[in-house]
Formats: sequence, C-alpha cells, structure tokens
Amino acid sequence: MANSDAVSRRSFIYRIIGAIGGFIAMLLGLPVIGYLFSPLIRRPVTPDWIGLGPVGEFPVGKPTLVGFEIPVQGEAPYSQGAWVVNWGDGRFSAYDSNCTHLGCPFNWNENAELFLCPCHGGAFSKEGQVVGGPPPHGLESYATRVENGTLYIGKTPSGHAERGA
Amino acid sequence: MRRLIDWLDERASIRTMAHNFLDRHIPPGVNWAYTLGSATTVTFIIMVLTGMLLMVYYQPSPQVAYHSVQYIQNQVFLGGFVRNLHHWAASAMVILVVLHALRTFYWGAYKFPRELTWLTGAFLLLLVLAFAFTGYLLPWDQTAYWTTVLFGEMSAVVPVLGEPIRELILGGRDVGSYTLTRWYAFHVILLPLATIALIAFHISLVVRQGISNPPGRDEPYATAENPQQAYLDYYEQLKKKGQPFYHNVMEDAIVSLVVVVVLVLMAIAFPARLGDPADPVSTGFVPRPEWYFFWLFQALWYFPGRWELVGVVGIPLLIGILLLILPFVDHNPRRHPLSRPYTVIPATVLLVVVAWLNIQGANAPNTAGLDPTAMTSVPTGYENLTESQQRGWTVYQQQGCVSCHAIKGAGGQLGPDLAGIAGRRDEDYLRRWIRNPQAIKPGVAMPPYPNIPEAQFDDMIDFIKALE
Repeated sequence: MANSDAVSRRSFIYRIIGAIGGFIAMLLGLPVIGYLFSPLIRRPVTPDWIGLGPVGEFPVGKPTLVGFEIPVQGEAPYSQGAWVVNWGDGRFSAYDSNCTHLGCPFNWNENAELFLCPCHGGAFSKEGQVVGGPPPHGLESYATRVENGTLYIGKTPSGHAERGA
Repeated sequence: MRRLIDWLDERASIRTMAHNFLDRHIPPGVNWAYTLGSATTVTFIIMVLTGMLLMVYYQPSPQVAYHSVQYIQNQVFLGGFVRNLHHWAASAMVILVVLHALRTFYWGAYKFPRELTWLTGAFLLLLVLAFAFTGYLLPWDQTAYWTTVLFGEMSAVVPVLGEPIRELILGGRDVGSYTLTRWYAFHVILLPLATIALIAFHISLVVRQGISNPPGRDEPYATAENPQQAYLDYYEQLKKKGQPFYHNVMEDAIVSLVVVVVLVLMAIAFPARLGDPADPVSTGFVPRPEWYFFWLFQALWYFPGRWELVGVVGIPLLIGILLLILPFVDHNPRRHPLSRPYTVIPATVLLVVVAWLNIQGANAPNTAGLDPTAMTSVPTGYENLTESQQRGWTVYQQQGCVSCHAIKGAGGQLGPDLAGIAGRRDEDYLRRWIRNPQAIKPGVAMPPYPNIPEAQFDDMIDFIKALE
C-alpha cells in the first residue's frame, strides 16, 4: 500500500513537472513560430501604382525590359523586372519578367517574335500567351495605366493570358 | 601533464570516458569502409571553423553581400583560401555523407538495433542538403539568385499550400533581402545547432549499440525464432572475437588526414566560383545548382506540364520519406546485400538513375539559344554546308531553335535531337510542322513559326535536310 502510494506521488510530481515544462515551451515556442511565420501574417504594404518611366521610352511594337524597385513600407525595396509592350494605340502590356514555369528570366527573340525561356524552352507570344514548352499558363501581366505621359503598373501581377493556339 | 590528467580524471572521469570509447570491443572485419562517418565529422568541423571565419567579413544584405564575398576572396589575407576551403569541404561533405549512408545501407547496418542511428543519420543527410541550399544563396551572385528563384518556384508547385510554403521559405513573395537574412540565420546558427546536437546523439547511439558487423552470407540469427535476440547474442560473440576500438581510430585518422590534405590542396589550387552580381533584371540567364542537385534539374526536362508536380515535389519527397522509414518497413532480418534483393535492387536502380541524371545534367549545355552568338560554329559533323544551308543555320540560330533542339547532343533537350531528322520526315511534313505544329499534333510543346519570311524558311529547311 505504501509502495503504490510512493509510485503515484512520483507520477504526480512528474506530471506537474511535465505540465510546467510544456507551459514554458509553449510560452516561448508560440512567439518563435509566429516570428518565423511573419511573412504569412504581415503582408508587405506596397503602393498601388509604380511608375516605370515616360511612355516615349517604350518603342512601339518592340518589347522592352524595364527594371524597377517596389518600395515596401518600412522595409528594403524589392528589385523587379517587367517586359513592357507598347501596342502603339495607347495600350500597354507589362509582363512579369519571370517565366511562369520555374521563374527563369526569359528573353525576347526579335526574329522569332517570341519570348523564349532558356531553362526549359518555354515560349510566349507578344500577347503573353504560352505558345510552346512546359509553362502551365501565360505570362503574369500587370495592370497598366498612363498618367501625364508616364507609364504606371499595378502592384502585383494579376491574371494571365491563357494558352494560345 | 600526467598530473593535469589525474586532476581532470578526479573531477570529470575522463579516463573512464576514454576507456569506454576507445577500449570497447568491436566486431572483426571492421575496415576502411567504416571511416566515412569520422571523415564526415572532420569535414563538418572544417565547415564550422571556416564558416565562423567567413562570418568575420561577410555581410548578409543584397546591397553588400556580393562585395563582401569579393572582398573575402580578393582582399582579405588568406580570405580566398578560407572561402575555397569552405566551398570544397561542402562538396566533400555531401560525397562523404552519401557514401557513409550507402555503406550503411548495403551492409544492412540500419537494421535492429540501429534503426534510430539510421534515422538520425537520415536527418543529418537532410540537414547537409539544407546547408547546401541556404549557403548557395549567400554570395548573392547571378547563379545564387536565380537558382533560389527557381527553387522558390519549384516549392510553389505544391497544390494549395505551395504559395504559403514559398513565402515562408523566401521570407516574402519574391527573392529579396529577407530571403538572404532568413537563409543566413538558418545557415549560420539554426542548422549548425541542430546538426551538432544530432551528431552528438548519432555518435552516442553508435557507441551504445556498437559498430555493426560486416554481414556474411551465413547469418545464423536470421532463421532463429526470435531473430532480434539471436542477433544480439550473435553480436556479443563477435565482439569477443574482435579487437578494441582504438586500433581502428588509426584508420579513421589516416582517412581524415587524406581528406584534409586533399581539401587544403584543392583550396589552394581551385578558387570557389563567384559569378556576376545578382541582377533581378536579367535576360536569358540559366541558373545552375551545385553539382549534387544536377539530377533534380535534369529531371525537370522529363516532367513537363501537369507532371511537373511529380518530378519537382513528388520524387524528392518520396526519396526523403523512403530514406526516413527504411528501417521501419524493412523487416527482413538478413543483412547481406545479396540476401535481400527486394530492397537492394530497387535502391540500386534508383541510385543509378539519379547518378545518370546527374551526369546528364552536368553535361547539359547551357541552352542559351536566345543569344544568336551563343552557338556560332556549325554543329560537328556538318562542316560542309552549302551556302544556302549556311544561311539556314543562321536562321535556325536566330529563331532560337537551339533552345529546345539539340543536334548530335549539342543544344536544348525539350524537343527531339534533329540529327537524322531528314531521314525520318519528308520536306513537306517539316514545312507544315514548323509553320504550325499544333495543326498536326494538338498540345505539342513546340511553338508555331508562321512569321519566318519564305526565303529564310527555304534556307532553314535546306539546312535541316542536311542533318542526315
């Protein structure tokens, strides 16, 4: 009888110690997880429109690669690239410069009139549609806007062209 | 000296510890193949030491990271040596840890009672790969940046959770300064702490369970009623026949010495790569991972479209899971590799496939077919082209065909190799195919080329017909 009492006293103490340890771990561990998961919890605040430059800098019909910085409130800015197509009738297209397959930087092939990605042969038309290779969908395109002769793009790539013929 | 040891022994029992470690008997037949674990540990110590030294000058910020690495490489006295040593020791560690795992696998040393030793070892292997990933970004050169972009995209392929996983890994939507600081923190503190703790546990398990014996064909315990107890009895018998461990430390020391000398010589002779500084606004840069990930990159060629998930996430995940659960699903008590074909053959096939993919990836040309100057010389074997065929070759290059098509192995690999195409397809078919492949085979990966002027098109067809 005395022996079984001793065992239950031992297991009682172990449980209390375990509970204290678990509480300490939770008290310190949850903030640690939250801290590391911050990119998913606090979304970066960026301006709605970013200026890429005077419209005259974009030759009609020939896609031009533009580098720009996305200012982020309270953070270091991100460097990004976009391919801009000036359609000549006041309309502009701007595509994210990463291939939609695996993010490689593609190039414009003037002769073939195609955006070609060197990594796995992704090919896109000037309209941003997939015309060949493995990309799952068309180029990510930014919303565009012209104001006072300056071309602006929306803050994140939105929508994409569907696979073309 | 003796008095110092006496003093320490009185307080810390160092003689007992040394005795337990060095004088324990190990089974006969433990040979040079058993030195891989200690060589890996020595390489890890080199990584920690050189890594700490690199931290003295390295600055983890996109604005200065590249220049600080350049500074270490070119300005700091012996800086190049320290960085090169860190670089080559990293490769050596991957080789040694994989060989160590293979030795353990083929000798059946992951079986009872060493399942936990294998499991900690498998986690250590994954940690080594995590070190490789995170360390690769730190120089912030073009390859580092774009390879990280690519790995971010690969993780985003996962259904539903892909985007959050990518943001969690990259510390934001895109590769930026917080990717660098995040990976830096993991590379220099979190991963090393985890690795040191796991190595300590791993080695304590090796001492606790004893070094596994090289399996013979004759395995008396395998047919016993209780194979686990029979193995323990058998192992006790073996240990009695064996010698104390300190004899083998000599072999460990010699192999470690060779590894260190080779690494030092390599650090002197071969500088670690540092490309151009990272530029997020690049065109046509082809990222390449460190050589031990070539197989993964190469596998991407074989999993286009919706199969991508399988190649990019499925296969690496499957290999990782198999690695972790191996000792818990393989209940065969036999250890000799020839006595367990059902585990050894699939694993060997997988190993050969990965090695083959890696060699393919290593030899894959930098498919910069976008740059018309990238492949100026006529493909080997086709030097005697007519004038029209020469012009056709120029058109072929300008249209970016080399991005996807190889000629006798030189060029992209998405489409078929065009050497000998003229024998397989007639001219009319080639013309219709290139103008609009979708019309012949809907859904094919090749883009249409309706805009090539007729004269140029004729020249190009002429060139393709020459590829016999």
